[in-house]
Amino acid sequence: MKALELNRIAIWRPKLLDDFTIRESGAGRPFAENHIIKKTTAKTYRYAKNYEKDKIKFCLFVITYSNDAKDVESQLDKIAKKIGAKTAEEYVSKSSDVSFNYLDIYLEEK
Amino acid sequence: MALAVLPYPSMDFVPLDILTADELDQIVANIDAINNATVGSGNIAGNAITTAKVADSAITKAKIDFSTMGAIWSSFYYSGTSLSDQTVSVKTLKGTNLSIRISAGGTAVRIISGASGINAIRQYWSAKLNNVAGEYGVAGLKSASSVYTRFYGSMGNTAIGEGEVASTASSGTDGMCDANLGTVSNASRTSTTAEFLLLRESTDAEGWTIYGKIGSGGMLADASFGAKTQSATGYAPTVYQRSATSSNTSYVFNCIEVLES
Repeated sequence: MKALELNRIAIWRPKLLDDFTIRESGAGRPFAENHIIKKTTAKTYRYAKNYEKDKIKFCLFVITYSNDAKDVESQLDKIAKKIGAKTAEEYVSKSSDVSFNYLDIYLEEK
Repeated sequence: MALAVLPYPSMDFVPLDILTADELDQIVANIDAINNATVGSGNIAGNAITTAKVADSAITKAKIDFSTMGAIWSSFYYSGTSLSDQTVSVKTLKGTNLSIRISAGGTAVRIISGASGINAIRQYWSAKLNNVAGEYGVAGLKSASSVYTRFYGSMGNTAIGEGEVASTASSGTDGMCDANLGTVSNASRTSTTAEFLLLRESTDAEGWTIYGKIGSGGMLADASFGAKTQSATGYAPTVYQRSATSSNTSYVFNCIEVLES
């Protein structure tokens, strides 16, 4: 299982619900920053949504301090459009219950 | 119906999510529901698990309900007393023309046309009674051992009764098969002659005898029936004949269950 990296977009096989969902976590979660493990200092929010490209379904999720759900969803939608079906299929095939991949894409901070 | 109906279908999580204790309980409940469900009823649809996902060794004939599959039927054919290698053409119960090649002894069967596979081959031994029309007859079967045996009675092509013998029985009292031996229309018989056919399914050399009575008299003794034990060659014994001039013939019937094409 990869370490949590804030604001970094992750790609995974489709989650159970297709909808844009949010999960809140309290402060104190360990995360990695430049390979150094730190602890979050405030609430974090996990945003996730399923997308489909040429019948290949996949999930994008990100964990961030930002509580602007609308903005995060909009950014995820734009990122999803840039992901090709072949790329999605490759990442989905490598996914398992606990295994996912990070993309080299980060949320833009406002 | 969805492939599976879970008690908590709306669980949503991704890797790195921290699940609450309640959510962990819900996951366990979902797993339990699948574990305890019967495919095809309740929570899991019948098409949720394909045969590709089931090991070949797990699928045995005993677990398959052929009676609901619709395409399975049995065809009786008449093999005569010689049991020689022969080609038989019959019409199935559904009216399909079936052509099969059967080896001597009926142990090897090849489908020529009309079916896509063979489900089972069973041999039935028969004994025939020639009787006068209008008489009421009773026939019974006694097994020589405690081996479970079923037998059937028919008049012509019509089944008229069946019975079971679970253990060695006293003469004629167990496994009785009643028949009202009325007139039977059959090209091979006269209108005043009826035929009572007793079939016993057997795949081994268990000895068995037939008892019975014809008309209003009492139960006929074995000697009157001319009962014999089954021989190792599989021929059925010749049984009762009403009059000295009547002829009796023993037959072996092979029942072949095939998959209709």
